[in-house]
Amino acid sequence: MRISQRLNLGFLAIAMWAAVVGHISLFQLNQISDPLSRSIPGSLESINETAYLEGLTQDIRYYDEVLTQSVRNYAFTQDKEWEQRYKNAKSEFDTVLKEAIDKGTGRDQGLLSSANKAHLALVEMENTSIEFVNNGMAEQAVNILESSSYWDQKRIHKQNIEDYALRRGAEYDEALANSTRIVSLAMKRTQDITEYSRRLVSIFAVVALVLALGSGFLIARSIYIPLKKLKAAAAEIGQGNLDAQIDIKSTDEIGRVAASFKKMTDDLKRTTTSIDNLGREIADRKEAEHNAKLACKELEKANRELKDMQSERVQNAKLVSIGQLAAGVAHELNTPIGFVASNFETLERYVSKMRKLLLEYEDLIGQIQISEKSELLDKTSVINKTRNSMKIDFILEDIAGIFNDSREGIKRVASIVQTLRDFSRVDQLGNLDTYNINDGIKTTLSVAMNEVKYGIDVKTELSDVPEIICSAGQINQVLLNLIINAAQAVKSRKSDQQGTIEIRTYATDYDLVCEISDNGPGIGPDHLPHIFDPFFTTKPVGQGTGLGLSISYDIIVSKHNGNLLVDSSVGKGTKFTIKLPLRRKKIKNESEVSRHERENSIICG
Amino acid sequence: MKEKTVLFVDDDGIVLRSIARDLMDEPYNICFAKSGEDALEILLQQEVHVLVTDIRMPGMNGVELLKIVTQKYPKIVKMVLSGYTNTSDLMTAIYKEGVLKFIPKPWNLEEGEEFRAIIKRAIDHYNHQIEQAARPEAELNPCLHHISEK
Repeated sequence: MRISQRLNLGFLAIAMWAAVVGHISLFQLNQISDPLSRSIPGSLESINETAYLEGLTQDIRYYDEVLTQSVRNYAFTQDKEWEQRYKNAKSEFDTVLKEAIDKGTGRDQGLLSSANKAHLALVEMENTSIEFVNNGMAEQAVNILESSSYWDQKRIHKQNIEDYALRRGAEYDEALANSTRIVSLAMKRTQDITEYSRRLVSIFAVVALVLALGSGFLIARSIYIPLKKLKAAAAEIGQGNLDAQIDIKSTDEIGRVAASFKKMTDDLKRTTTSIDNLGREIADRKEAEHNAKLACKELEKANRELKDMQSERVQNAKLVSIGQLAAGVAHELNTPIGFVASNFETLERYVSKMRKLLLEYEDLIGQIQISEKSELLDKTSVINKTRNSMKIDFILEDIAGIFNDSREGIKRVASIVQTLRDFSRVDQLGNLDTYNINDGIKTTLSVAMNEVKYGIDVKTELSDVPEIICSAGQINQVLLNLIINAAQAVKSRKSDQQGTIEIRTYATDYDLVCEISDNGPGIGPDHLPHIFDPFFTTKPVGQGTGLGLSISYDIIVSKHNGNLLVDSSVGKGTKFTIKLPLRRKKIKNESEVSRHERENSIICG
Repeated sequence: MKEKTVLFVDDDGIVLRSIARDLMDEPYNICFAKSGEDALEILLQQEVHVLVTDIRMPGMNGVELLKIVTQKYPKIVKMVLSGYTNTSDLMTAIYKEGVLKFIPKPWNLEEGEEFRAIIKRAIDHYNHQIEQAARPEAELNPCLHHISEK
């Protein structure tokens, strides 16, 4: 059970206890108020009633006295005022008596009616007395009032009234006593109940206190003990014992805290384990690092060897590209050599025919002096026949053509050789030339002619650019490489669109720029980052060395402080941009070259 | 036998002229085209028995021409005269289109068969081809074929 639930339960128990106590107290209060509200008003009413009747009794006695005195005084003084008093008192007396009779019990009524009877008799005599007085016979009036019959009636009347008064007094006293008894009883009862309630309340209070203390203790215990365990476990864990067990199985908040704590401990344990592992790993890594350093040294050594090897390979690649170039140029040479040779052979035949004819003519000339005219004419006609069959006229005409064609052929051969020489100007690092890139492009295009001649439209847009100091042979090699690549790209595409290569040159404030773009198939984004890597090639095995662009990059970026950029999109084409600084700092040596970052200059399009 | 016609295709006029000189006295007709398209035009106008073509030409190249000729004029004996030897396309075409001989440039310097002899052999090949087609029974009877050769 949760602590909050437990607390709620404790409070609920106490609240229920309070409710029970309240209820009982209420019941007790009712016990007190019941008699007070029921018996006391009854008794008070009876007191009231008896008191009222007592009052009536007093009134009766009073008015009786007033009547007696008034009539007597009237009889003696003849003062009219007494008559009036008498009349007033009489009506009052009648009213009071009537009321007393109405309210009275059987016995009272008997007494009162007896009294009334006497009263009536008295009143009759007194009226007679008043009559006498009014008629001036005061003596008669006094006599009536002094008469024994009057006093007899007076005595009966008084006796009955007194009896009634006694009864009323007794009754009043009884009611008072009764009421006093009831009140004192109620008071005693109230006192009892109050006492009882006080005791009850104090017992209840004690029980509530015990209940509160008990539940509080239990709840506190249920919180404190697991907390203590938790604290002990925390202390233990704090000292490093991660295996400390927390024996808390409850599902309350503490249980959950304990579970979290346990999880934390487990995590800590795992983390500690992983830290241990990490420590071990670090140690391992250190060892690995040491090994790696050793390996690195070996690698450096291997790298040096590789570099030596690479320069060898680059050299080989140069040889290969020169070989390719030579093959291309050789093809270019084949045609003029072919027709010159053919013409030479023809010429040989022509010459042998002419020689044969010449011999015939010489023979004819030799025979002019010794032969007959007709013989000579025959001989001449034979010679003419031979001459015609030899097509000498055509030959004579054609010889000029042969010489022209052959001269053209020899010129082509000479031009190709010259281009080759221009192109591969001495290729040593130290050898710098004044170089005009436009001339370089023209020469290179001539050399590459056999690659680009057919089916490719080469457009050049060469601005008037300043000359730069550089290794002309190397730059030409780059140009050739890029032009041949462009030509091959254009040829490899499947579309029927006219293949074009555009070559632009222009100068900015700092750089000489040459752009070589083609409308070939473009370079895929997965190949683009690798095109400058040595030995990267997409051509079939044996057809590309994979070194062309790598060497070009080396020449432009490393050796000439320039930049070689590529921008290519698949299906549209590729553009290579060569940037060469107009003012050259100095030629980098080999060690600087090897450190150069090449990724920076690749722009993917 | 009726004279045969040999058609040479090359974009270089000087080459064609030198061939014309070389074959001036040969016993067959020669004609020339400066492109594949020209060659197809000539083939429409006159009967040709042997075709000798260059490979690298502007416009239609030699391989394309050979393909069309094989399709439209299967009887024509085809040969190639070219300075380029090392492209796989060319080698495939030579094999697939049934090219009789590849003559490398320069054609009159190499040791071996003379240019004129090669052309002659191509014409002989054509004649032999026609003879075999015309006499199918000879094919069926090797003895008869043997006798007729004698």
